[in-house]
Amino acid sequence: MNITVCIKQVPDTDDIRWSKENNIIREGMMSILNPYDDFAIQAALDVKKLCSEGEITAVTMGPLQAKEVLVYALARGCDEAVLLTDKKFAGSDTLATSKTLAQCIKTKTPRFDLIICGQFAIDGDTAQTGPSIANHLNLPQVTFVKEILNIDEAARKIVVKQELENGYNIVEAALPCLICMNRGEQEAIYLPRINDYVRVANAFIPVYGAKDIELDENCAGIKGSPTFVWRAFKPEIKREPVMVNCDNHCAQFLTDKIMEVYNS
Amino acid sequence: MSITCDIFVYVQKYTSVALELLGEARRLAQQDQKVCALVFGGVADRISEEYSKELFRAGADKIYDIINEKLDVYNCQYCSEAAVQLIERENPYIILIGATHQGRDLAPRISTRLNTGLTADCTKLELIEYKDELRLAATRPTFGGQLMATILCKTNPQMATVRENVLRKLEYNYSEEGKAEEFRPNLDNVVSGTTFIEFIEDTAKNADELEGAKIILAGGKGLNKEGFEKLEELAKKFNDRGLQTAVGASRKAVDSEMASQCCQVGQTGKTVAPKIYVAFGISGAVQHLSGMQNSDFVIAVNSDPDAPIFKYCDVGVVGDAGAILAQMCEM
Repeated sequence: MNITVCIKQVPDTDDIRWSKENNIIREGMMSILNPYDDFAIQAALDVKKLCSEGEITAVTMGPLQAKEVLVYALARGCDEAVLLTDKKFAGSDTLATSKTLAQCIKTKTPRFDLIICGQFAIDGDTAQTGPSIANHLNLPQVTFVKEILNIDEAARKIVVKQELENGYNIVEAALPCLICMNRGEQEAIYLPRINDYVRVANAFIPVYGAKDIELDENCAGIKGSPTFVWRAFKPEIKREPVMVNCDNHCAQFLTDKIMEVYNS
Repeated sequence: MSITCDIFVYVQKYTSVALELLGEARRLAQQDQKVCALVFGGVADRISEEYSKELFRAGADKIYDIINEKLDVYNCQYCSEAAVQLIERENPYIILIGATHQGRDLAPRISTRLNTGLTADCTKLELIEYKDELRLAATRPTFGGQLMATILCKTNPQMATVRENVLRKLEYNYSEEGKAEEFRPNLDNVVSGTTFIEFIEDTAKNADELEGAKIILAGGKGLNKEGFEKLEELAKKFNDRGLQTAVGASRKAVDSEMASQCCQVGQTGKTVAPKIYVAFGISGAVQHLSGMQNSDFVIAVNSDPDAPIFKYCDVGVVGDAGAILAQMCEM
């Protein structure tokens, strides 16, 4: 079974600094692998273990620096990695991003049985790229996947557990298909050791631009993005906090305050 | 400037976000614009008269009753195809969808099919003048809530998803009367690729509890496991006294496995808007704030006087959250 995993390098949103002009300072910003994509990689590794043969290809789109997350993906056990980088990709919204990724999959790794994405990326948090790729490739999709329950290579089917607000759906999907992985158990993730990094140190990671994947330039980057940021601003503070010094009576004070507001 | 194309609202049956969106669409609608509710169902599963009236009262002028035997259970491929057929016939100006799991599954599929933009998880919608046109300006948090971005879309229809509880439920009372029109999409050639096998309800998921709670007692990394037990104990006490109370948690508390993911409040968790939100040992990362800032009254307890949460509360107490909680349980 051949699996393609789409991953993204994101800024660590816990580490954001502001300039005096209220802009996010991007220089020196810590970059990490989107945490949901770690679960996507893990799901791919788990599926591969259960299958007779096949390879995992990790794909990312971003600046050259995004190679870091591909090296990490290889160290974790992915077999191949592809970096999509081109000035023409800059400013892509989710539609342009998904077109670019879908076009890369079509032209460079067309022999896939399963595509796995993370459910969200913590920077944009749109949860749109996965379903959008599925649509471009005309594939069935299952989002919010908590667990892959069964893989039937012969019948070309997988059964997954999909998380809902009030429970779970058990869903069967015909291969090839695309799934988006929700958060799983953190312990299930194997963190690569130094040996793993040594093993992949010389791995070849092809770098492709718009021409290499035969992407129409009008579909890429800002040109191909129907949405754009009109304004960006820091969230405003709407409250006027009152700090209370309640010493040893805080429990009493808080209980009274809760009752007072509740009954108001 | 007048717009005559309509506003479509996807109705996921019996969710409150669908009613919130109809009210919001009504607020946005210009003179000639109609607010249309899109309801999907199988042939046997018809929309009740009572529910139709509720949709009209919430703000709909018109209901599209979308009927096909393949639409009795939600299926992304069937549902998006049915929606696209109606959208291509009617050319709506704006489409609003609730950011539930189902909505987030469906919306990108529809927008991609239509080759148009989609803005996810908006916290504010308004119409602004842009290049001599009234366009939908959709504001949403990005970078984990640290930055707000107002996004415009160059193409039509302009699509947006909004979470439940973000557009506080309006006091709606529009006319109960409106038009209902049947729409029968042709889904004969659509291959779904997915088969729904069964639904397993998880009663431990307290989504509804958080949703309906008047008081939310939330814990963060400043509490330990024992602190979370006290939080549960206090919530139970309040509930026993008839106060609708639920327990919430920050992402860091969920990550360190002190609380289950379904309690998580914030950007990647639930958005809540209770009457009182009490934050025990929550530092106030922006991604958390974005999930609870619509609460009426916020109380914060934290041992760190410089915790950001103290800028975003109504009443702040500097102290040991765990110890204060334990004392509150004894009262």
